[in-house]
Amino acid sequence: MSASLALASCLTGGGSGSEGDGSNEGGEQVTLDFPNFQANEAPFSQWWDEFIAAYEDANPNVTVSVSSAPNSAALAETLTTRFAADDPPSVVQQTTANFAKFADAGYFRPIDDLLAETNVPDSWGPLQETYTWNGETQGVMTLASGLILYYNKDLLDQAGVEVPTTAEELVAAAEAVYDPENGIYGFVGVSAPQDTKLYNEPSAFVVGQGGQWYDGDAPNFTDAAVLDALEIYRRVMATAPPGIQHTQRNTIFQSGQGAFMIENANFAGAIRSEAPEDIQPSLQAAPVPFDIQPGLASVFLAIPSGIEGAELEAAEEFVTMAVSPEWQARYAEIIGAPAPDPNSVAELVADDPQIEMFAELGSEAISVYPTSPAVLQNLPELNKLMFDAMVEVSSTDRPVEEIMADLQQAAEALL
Amino acid sequence: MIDTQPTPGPATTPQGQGEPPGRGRRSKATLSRSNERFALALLLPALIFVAALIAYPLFVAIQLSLTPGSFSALRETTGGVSLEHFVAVFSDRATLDELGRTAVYVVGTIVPAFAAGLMIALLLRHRFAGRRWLRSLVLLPWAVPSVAASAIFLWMLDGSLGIVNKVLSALGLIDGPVAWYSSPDTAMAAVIVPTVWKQFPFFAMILLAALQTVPNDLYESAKVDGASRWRQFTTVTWPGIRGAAYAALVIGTLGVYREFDFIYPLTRGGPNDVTSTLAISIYREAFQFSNMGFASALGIVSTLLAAVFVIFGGRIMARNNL
Repeated sequence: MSASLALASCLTGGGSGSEGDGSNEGGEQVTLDFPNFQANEAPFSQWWDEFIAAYEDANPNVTVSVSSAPNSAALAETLTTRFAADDPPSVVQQTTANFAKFADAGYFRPIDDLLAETNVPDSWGPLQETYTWNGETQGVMTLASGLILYYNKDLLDQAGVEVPTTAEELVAAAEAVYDPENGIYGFVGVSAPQDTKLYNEPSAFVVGQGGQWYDGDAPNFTDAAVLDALEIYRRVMATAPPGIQHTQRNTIFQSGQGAFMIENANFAGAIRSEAPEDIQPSLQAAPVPFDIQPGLASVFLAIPSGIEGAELEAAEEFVTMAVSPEWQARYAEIIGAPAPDPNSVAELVADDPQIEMFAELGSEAISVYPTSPAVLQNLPELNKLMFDAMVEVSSTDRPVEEIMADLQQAAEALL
Repeated sequence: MIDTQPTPGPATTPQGQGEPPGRGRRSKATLSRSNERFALALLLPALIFVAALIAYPLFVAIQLSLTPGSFSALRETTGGVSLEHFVAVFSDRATLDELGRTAVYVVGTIVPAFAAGLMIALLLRHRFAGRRWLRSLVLLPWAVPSVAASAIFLWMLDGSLGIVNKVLSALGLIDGPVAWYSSPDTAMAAVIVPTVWKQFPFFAMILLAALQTVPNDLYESAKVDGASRWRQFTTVTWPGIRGAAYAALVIGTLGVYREFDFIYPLTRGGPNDVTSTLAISIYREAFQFSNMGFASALGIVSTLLAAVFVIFGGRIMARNNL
């Protein structure tokens, strides 16, 4: 294992970038190295395929080399290796949880000047500020939305319950539907160790009910609002299938075996592309039944600081084109949910009330991510501790106060 | 009683017989040096290959582990030598915990895998209908990539949809569904089971090969002497396969010691770190938390532990003339 750290440096030398020595002006052939964890994930893959084909048409001297990663965590680990070996890709795609780690290491190039030529600074809303580090914009979001309550209307009708509008109603409805003997679950939530969705789901409950995981630079895990929200979370998770990962969660919900699940707006696109056609009509969306609408900017693009010349120009053009109104609108059309640009759904809302709802929820969403640089720098380690605590909350009878007190102590020691 | 005849060694001749003493020694020495140079020339490509793939990365890992401060890029490692990462490794209570969990995982895997492998090898030694077919089938788990096997076991041991829960429930052995990978009480066992499944064919194969070198005559003699089956095993079978068994145990233990492919996809070291072995911890520190120095130091310590085990195992084998 120790040797593998060093092997990374030996085996990842070179590989991408311009094949010449300088500018892109003379039609010099450039290979844009772009690792992508959505390359095979419908419906995102369709957008990426169309976008990359259009980009190559518009830039005939550039070939985009897409390497597919199975998920964001795997890509984050690959990127860590590549950055460590001083072999960055041309464009970085990653999730918010890893932004600060990479930004703090100086891996990303400030892109304020680049974005100044686009409508991002003026139109994209506050979630874009997630990617500001040391006063500079170092990433641009490609996936941002409010967190949505997805429900199975048929199961609710069979149990004689309405779509919940409060946390208590959600608990009651989930319990009413819950019938594990027949493979029917109330809430389909993750509880497998270290699943990345162990952040989003409990955060929806906590932030939605007025809590915050962090108070500035300090952990806030024992705050009364957090504890109350987690008690609700525990009761809802008591109706969930035990120990599932998020891929299993999606499968169970899309196959019609779960009454509720919480995900971002883009999951509507996954339902359209993956759920059986006879079940799709019963899978619907509603606002989360909390006072505050939680949301997150979860995926971003960045340009590594280590690239230059023609490769840099190609990367800048790639990012600029991805955030253009044309491709943001196409994103909304394909995914069936708003793109980060709120204007992306302007032409769709008249015909699709669900998209209109997603857009409204996204515009009022409060981010579930902390903003303190000290917390963000340690977010991977803090998340690891938090994930363990959330599994314990959802899978054991140990008092929530005790679990969160332990988490508070561990987080304080880390920070 | 079972006697063994000493095997006659190769015929030897007195050194330098029939040649003038000084000249013969010189010409032999010249020939020997020439042969050594030739052998070295033949080995050189392999040595360069090994140096490039093993020695250099190991050197860089040592360099990383001795580089002070926090860094995440290899280019930042110039200048300064410090033992701070080793101090951190040895002063961190988590290291001891990870070592303990690694020991549980290794012993928990090797003991049942070896026992299963031995039993299957003993079974396959006998002639019976379908033996060839069974031999191929037994090897199958060894050929399945660990990550693919992990996916299979993830679904088999799934809390709600898994076949294991359904069977145990039908047999009345559990009251409700068990989340095998999410419960701290069951997660270690749930990662050991697939590792045993993957590992036992290795032992079966090695031990079966060794069993086939044990002459049948010895068993016949033992039977004539009235030895029970257990006595036959302890006096004929085990002495015949002991060398191969020790070698397989050393190799198998090292394989499980550095095992990563099962634990990471199944539990990522959780819940509450109960499946976080040294290998998982090194990976997490390096690639999730970007603590390259600490991860390298832990990796070096882990490598040294493996080396100590190999030396210890080698001495046992040497002491037993294996």
